[in-house]
Amino acid sequence: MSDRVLHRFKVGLRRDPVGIVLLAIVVAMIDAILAAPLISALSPVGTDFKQVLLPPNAVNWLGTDDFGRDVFTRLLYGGRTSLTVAGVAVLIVMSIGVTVGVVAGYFGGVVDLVLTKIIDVLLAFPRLVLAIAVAALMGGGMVPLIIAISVVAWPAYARIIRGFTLQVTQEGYVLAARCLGTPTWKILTRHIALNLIGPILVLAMLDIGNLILAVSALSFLGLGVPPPAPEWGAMLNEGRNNMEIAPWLVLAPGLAIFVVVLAANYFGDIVRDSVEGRPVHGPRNWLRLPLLGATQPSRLAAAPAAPHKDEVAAPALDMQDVCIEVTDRRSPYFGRRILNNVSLRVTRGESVGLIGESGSGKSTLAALSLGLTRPPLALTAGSASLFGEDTAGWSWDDWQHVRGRSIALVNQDPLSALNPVLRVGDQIGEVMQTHLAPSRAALEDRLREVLDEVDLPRRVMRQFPHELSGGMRQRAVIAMAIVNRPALLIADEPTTALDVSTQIRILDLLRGLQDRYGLALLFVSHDLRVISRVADRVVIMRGGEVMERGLTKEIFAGATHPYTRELIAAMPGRRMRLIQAAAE
Amino acid sequence: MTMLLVEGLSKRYRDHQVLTEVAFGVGRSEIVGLVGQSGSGKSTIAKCILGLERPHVGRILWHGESLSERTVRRRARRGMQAVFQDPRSSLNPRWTVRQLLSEPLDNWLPAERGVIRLARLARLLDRVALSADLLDRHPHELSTGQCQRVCIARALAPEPDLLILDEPLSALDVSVQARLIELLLDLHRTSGISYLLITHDFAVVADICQRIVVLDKGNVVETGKVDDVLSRPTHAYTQALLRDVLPMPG
Repeated sequence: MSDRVLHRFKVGLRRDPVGIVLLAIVVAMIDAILAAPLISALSPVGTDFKQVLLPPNAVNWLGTDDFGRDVFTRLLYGGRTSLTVAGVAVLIVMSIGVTVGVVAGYFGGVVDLVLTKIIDVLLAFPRLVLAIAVAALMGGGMVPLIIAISVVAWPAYARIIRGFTLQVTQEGYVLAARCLGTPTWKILTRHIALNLIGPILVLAMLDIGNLILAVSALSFLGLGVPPPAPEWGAMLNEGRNNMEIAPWLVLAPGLAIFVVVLAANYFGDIVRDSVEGRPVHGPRNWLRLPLLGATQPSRLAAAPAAPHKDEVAAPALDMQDVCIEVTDRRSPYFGRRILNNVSLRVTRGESVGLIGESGSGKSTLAALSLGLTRPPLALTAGSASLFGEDTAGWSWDDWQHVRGRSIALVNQDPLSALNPVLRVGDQIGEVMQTHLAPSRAALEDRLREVLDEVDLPRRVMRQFPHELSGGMRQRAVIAMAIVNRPALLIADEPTTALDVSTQIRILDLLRGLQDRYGLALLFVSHDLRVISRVADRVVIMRGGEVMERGLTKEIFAGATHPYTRELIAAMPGRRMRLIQAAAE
Repeated sequence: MTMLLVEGLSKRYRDHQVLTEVAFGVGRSEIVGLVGQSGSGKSTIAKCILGLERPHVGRILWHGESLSERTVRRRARRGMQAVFQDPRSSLNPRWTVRQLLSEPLDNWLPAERGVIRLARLARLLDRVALSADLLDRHPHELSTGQCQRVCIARALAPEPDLLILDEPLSALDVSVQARLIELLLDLHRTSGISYLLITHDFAVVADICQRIVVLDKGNVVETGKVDDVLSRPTHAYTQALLRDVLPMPG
């Protein structure tokens, strides 16, 4: 894990010149601070009233202050104090914050209640005012400074870490560890805290800047390290009186604080990207298509409407020798072919089953038919037509016209397909409003009608997704898909997440809708039992190629390709059929 | 004596009665299927047995002793293990297969090290038909089927008498499912391990199990030998469930 993170960190840094410059400056600063006695022979506290307020010169690189002390030397020694205090404070804050957060999140119940109440009370005080009060009560000095800062900073961490812990505690591997008899302290450290290391690192990096500022602020107010010992915040304070005649007195410590805080925040972002595994480059996937849409006027005057059932027309979906490859040179899979010479045709009123296991390219094919092929993938050969029109030249706007209107998608997970904070009726209505701008009465009529079509009670309109069962949610998603009476419906594993009884009802519903409205249905699944229930024809794919195709009945009666036979043999339920046959 | 015995198990979440006086048992070397639709309380039963949740009423006996006793619970922790539905989330993504399989071994055989430990890891992978080359891979470098095999290997590590399999096949492709069913049956034949298989799919139950417990809304509505329940279901709910099983095409 650490190797991958380190690699991503390096890649992120390499692409970011500002980051490299900041890193170089910070490394140089820390080196200089550590090697202060070697760099400057002058004393940070030695006064010399003959040399008061000298501007920068060959001996005093950053001038001198009102006691004749060398500002550059004080800056170096002051950095030791400032950065040590901030570093120690981060360690203390993190230790308390992580411990309290993880314990509260994992154990829950009374433990959680007590700890969150303490956190809430501490968070209710203004952070800096509380720190000032604590520091003032304990008197000045480095240790009280660290304590004052830590006391006010940990509750915020604890609360964030508690939130993350609540999530991780629900993960399967934490449950598994409990079943394996792993002791609680090991689960807390090795499973939970270790998986929180990303957020913890990011929080630490982002907050070290705040802590340096807090240290400086308290020192500025005279509550930090007592004079004459140097400290950046205290130096700012001392320089304030002579700011107009000797600006270097405030500029030097001010810039030092600025650079360190800026660098800490900047690295915080790079670290977050490398830990969370986001792509390190920008959102180039989205840059290209809207631009394309903007430069090309929409070629489709109007999206093809759903045809009448017995209208003879071009096939709804027609793919000829389609090849899709990884065309992005930066991708580690550059040159890999995801689809290889795939042809597929779905005519109106027909239901086609696309069978394939993981990695067969079936979802890539479904994405292609919705115009959702994205870099690093691209269509490199062949053509894909919708309703007789070649989609090769379609702009983003053309696709927007068609998607949700003439083509609709139902996918595997109804819970993620529905917005959890919107009522089901509003979500179905939104699809209609996007394309048709109906009157309020027409919208409500159609909503009631579509709920009847998918056998959902009308009260569902006012309900939220979490109030519905899995099967009802999938029916709501189907209602969203068919509300505009599309001509082509693509169903990508729509029943995989459901139990058998719900599964069969959803299949029959889809089949019924397909029959009644003359829909072209492309049904994608890995399960032959499911496919056989809905599809007139099947296409079997493996590794991006079509293995076999034919009428459903014929394929199941006598498959010729060995892979198809293997799939048929793998279907569970053989013994069940034997038992039931014997009983009859 | 029945190895695992569940007696009068009831569980309520606030106003919602999840389980009502559930009772069944799993004997030595027996494969029992617990069948029901989503929301029937199957997974809650598994969690109660595994000690992840506490039942309100009822007892769970492990070799005749109640699991509410601390010492019994400790023994049972080793004697029964679980495999869950989603193999990817069941494996800590930051760990290698070696670390994943070592976790239970560190708990039960903390002194074992070096060559002996390595041999044991290789043997575990061999039992689930995976190559020992995978030891240094992370879960994201494995297929979902391989991940589920690693989960099974991890569950086998403490040499349990009972595996609780909570929808272990649902996330897998059909051909991967078939190979895993083969594997589970093989393991049962060679080591006599018992399974409590939780699923909604009668077809899978019929392929693997010897006995069935049918659960509807937290109530056990029918139990019996697989052949009897499948050929002559007595309860209306079982009959309805059986009607909903997708027929084999062809």
